[in-house]
Amino acid sequence: MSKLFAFTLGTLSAIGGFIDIGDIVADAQVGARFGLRLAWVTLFSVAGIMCFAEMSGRIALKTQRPALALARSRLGPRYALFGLVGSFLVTGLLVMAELAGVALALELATSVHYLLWVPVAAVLVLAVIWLLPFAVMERLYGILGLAMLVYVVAVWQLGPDWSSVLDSATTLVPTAGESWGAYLFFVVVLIGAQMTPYEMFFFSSGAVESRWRPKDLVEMRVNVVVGFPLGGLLAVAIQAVAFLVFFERGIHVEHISQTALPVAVALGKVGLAIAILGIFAATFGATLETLLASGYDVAQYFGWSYGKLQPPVRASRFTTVVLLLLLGSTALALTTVDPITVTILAVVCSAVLLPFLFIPVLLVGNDREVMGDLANGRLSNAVGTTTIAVSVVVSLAALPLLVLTRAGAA
Amino acid sequence: MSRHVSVRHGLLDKQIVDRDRLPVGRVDDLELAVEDGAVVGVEAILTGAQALGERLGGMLGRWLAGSAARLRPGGGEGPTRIDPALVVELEPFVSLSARLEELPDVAGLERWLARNVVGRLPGAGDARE
Repeated sequence: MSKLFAFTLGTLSAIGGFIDIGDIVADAQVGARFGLRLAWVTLFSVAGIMCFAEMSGRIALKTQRPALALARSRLGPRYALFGLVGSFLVTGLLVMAELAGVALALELATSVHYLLWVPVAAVLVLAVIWLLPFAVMERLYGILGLAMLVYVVAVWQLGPDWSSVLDSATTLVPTAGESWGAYLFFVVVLIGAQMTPYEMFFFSSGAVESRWRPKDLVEMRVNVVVGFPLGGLLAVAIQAVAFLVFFERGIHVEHISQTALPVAVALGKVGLAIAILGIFAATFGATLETLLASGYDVAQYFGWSYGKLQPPVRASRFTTVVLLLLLGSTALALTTVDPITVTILAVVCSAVLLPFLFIPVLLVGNDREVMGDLANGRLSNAVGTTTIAVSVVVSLAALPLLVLTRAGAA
Repeated sequence: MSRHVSVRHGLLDKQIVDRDRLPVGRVDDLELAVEDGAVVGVEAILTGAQALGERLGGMLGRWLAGSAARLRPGGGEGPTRIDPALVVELEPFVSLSARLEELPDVAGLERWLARNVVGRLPGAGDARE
């Protein structure tokens, strides 16, 4: 029973990590403009993030240290500092975006403006971090996050012409009226939103916090193999409902409320309520993950004590970083800066950083001195190297595409 | 066991833990003992962002060292030092024979924050498991 429990736990956290504000926004926009013509990107992202989550999970099991903590002794303090600053800035921006996402979900439910909900959401996040143990916290938003499955139900309920759906998914060129630039820009956005490095850091830090050991290898792998594809399925379902409801009518997604609209069209009020709950849980979980992942990054780089297992006073610098980041994100969200703009900017910057954060993990995973019999096999290396090769191209193209297409403006 | 350890791979930047395996910091720099112009051993392990900043150099390094020095309660001069005689193990962590509480100079900011900020919040001393 406890095995089953631990299994659902990790799997749920994998879904929670995959579907966040960046995903919800990007998938809905992509579905409305390109139908399922970018669904292949999600397939690639799922394979890539599975590979690196598994690798960093394996490193954590073997060494009882998260992957990035080893990067500094491996690649030197300068490289690791660059990775730290970069991922802290990007993940920090995401904290703000996720927090705004929680507030927007509450606005959807109550019709009270989201800016009024931002402080409430921040207090709620603080209370959960302060009061709940790691495992309960993961379980809470993981189970609530299953509400996102309503998007999959909505696809069926909308009764699409399956041959046109398949046709869209297998056509790998921009839709009529869309440029290649915008198409490629959204490839970058989807990769940035779906292969977010914080998922990898959170997964490996979580494995350390849950005190997983090499004997838990199978369990860890089951989590990866079930969790991330489920997240990918949800992502494609969001693209599909946006395609079915918005694309034909030429509606563009400019507000997060629109991402729940197709579910309302398909399933009525009850469906809408479940979708709002799902969005709330996904963004809430992602707020916790991005916040803690940023704290882990800093603490591990400097060798501080960290983590949620011990009393906050025993990890006072870690706790202070997390609290300050939450405060800063709340302040940033309250400046009325558009959450969707921030989200898109954050995921594009995240895409730029990808290779720099993946390479150290691949290097440590291959080090037989550290990893022994748990070192990377051929499959890990093949998928990992391919992912890095693609991410290098994505990284180089991301900023030029952002500027040239004016963030994919239609 | 070999008595030779690569400084770059076996010592620098490694995690330091205390007797109870609690994180102390990283090996941010080393001070070498020099006699007649020859290196004869390690004089001190330097830990903390000040030591790291001074080692990195450049604008970022200076900024890091400067802010770390200013954030250090008590304002001791120079980076925090750990006596290498306390080291009992190098793998997988640099383990010390002392407990963190017995090293008053180390992790000053951690203690200051624990005492003056985090410790004052309700429930800060409660374990979460």
